[in-house]
Amino acid sequence: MLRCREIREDDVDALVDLLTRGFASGRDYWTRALGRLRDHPTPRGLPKYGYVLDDDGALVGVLLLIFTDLRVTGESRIRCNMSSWYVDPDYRSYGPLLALRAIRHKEATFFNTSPAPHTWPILDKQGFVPFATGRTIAIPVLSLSPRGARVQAFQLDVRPGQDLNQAEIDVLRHHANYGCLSLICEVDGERHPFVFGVDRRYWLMPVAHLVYCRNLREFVHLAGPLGRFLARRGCIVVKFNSNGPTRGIVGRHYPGGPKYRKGGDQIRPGDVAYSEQAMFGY
Amino acid sequence: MTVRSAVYDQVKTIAEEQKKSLPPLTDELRLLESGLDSLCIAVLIANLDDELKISPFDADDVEIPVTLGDLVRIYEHAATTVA
Repeated sequence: MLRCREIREDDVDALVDLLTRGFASGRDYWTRALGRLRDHPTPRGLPKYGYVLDDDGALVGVLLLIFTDLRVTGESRIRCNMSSWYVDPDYRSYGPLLALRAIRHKEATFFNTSPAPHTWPILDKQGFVPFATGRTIAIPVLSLSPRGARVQAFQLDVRPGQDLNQAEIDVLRHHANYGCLSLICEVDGERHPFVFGVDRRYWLMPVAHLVYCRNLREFVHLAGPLGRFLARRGCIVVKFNSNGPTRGIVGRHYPGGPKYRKGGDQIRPGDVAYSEQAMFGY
Repeated sequence: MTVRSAVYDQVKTIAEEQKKSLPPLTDELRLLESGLDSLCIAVLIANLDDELKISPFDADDVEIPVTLGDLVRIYEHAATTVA
């Protein structure tokens, strides 16, 4: 019998086989990715890994889900990154049923940062809307620095205060553990959190992806000191999701490759924390 | 309109809209051999959920329909449960 069911702990080995079959990344990548999901603090009652299509015990399709409880001004907000959606060719028509199972969790806001083009009309039909219509490639080192701005890598002894809350510290800590650059920029006595993922797949130089900031305005304001910190680590270029040109920063918006969301909360360009790229790497 | 006729009508409508040629529709027709691709299936389920006001694929550990008859049965069962 063909079933769509939640992924169980004992599926992991077969799941690594399926994901390795479906994507270019190797077994090590998927083993690490599933380990990160295992260790991730998934909100109670929601799937830890996602859903599979199971044909009499053989896994033939998968949709990984990363549910996270983000505290926003003290309130619980559940969001979910839909990642790694793959169905074996013989079963491909059933792919939409995996997404359908995921989005029944109405309490969550879903987002997909890397939908394959052939899935765009399916997402559209399932009620997803683009939250970013393209991306910006920027060179923040060319921006001016506000006087006295200082950037430091996140340290475990950082304490919350009026300028930096515990939820933000958790984002910084978790992403540092995933291998991202978690940074705090201090200016005028206030701390501002930023997370960058470093993509080293490019031949010439690594590219920093903006994974988290409070808002793009803050990133633009502090782009100079952040850019210099990143440049010292070999990252000249920063990439982030955008809906058009971003004023105040040297860079260019490239339309195409829409990112989708569905559910109550907006997904801000500049905040893809707890997404597959941030957690699994590039 | 019965659940069966709703399912059959939607399959025909979607195939026409998406310019897919269908074999003769029977309960035994396997969905994977029907000519409907993943987009058609997504549209079919979304339209049936809207039309019949039931969402059988929201359930836990749901069975996937292999044939058109399975799809009819799943919606009929869900309709009975809701009623």
